[in-house]
Amino acid sequence: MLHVFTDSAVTFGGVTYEAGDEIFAFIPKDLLSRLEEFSLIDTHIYTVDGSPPFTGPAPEATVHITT
Amino acid sequence: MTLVFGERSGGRSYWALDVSKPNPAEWKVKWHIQGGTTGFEELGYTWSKPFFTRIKTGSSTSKEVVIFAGGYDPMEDGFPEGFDDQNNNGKWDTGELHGVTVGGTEGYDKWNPGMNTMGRGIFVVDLADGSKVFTPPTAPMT
Repeated sequence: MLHVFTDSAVTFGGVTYEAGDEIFAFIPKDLLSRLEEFSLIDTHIYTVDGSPPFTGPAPEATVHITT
Repeated sequence: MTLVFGERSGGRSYWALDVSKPNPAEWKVKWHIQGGTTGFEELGYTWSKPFFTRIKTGSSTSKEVVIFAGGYDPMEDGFPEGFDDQNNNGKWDTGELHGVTVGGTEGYDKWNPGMNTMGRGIFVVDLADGSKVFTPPTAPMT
């Protein structure tokens, strides 16, 4: 899963988020069918594990993106 | 603004998200590249970090592109001994020829060079839609 966090208080669509809150998450479609494996075996499943660089200017409220 | 990421050990995909809007609820999938599909047959597990740049496509035209390497082939997890993976299950099975090398991969896949095409390429794709702009020609494996 891709996770995005904000490092400052921000309001989107009437909802206010504090610094450190998660504001977005994304599971690629090609990995959905593998999610059940988390409940079936003890070993770690790798899903979204890559570095997420982005293009263009950074937005005003800095977002921190991790996987 | 576009965010592009691979899946490393998780899979053979690159995903591009359009994150231009301030509100994350409005972010969209811009495009998706799946390794193994037409044009990306040799794209392996997507460990390569995408590189953004602009290339010339003519004397006065250019295009924003994403460049990444061909990724990883989990077949190579067979270190340290090479073997002829006849049933293509990624494991050495009794009866399949295998080599013994000391501390190295020297003999790996020497009987099965055709399995080494995954991950050998370099891909240049259009940032706008993920279509392949260029990939270097590759020689047949011998």
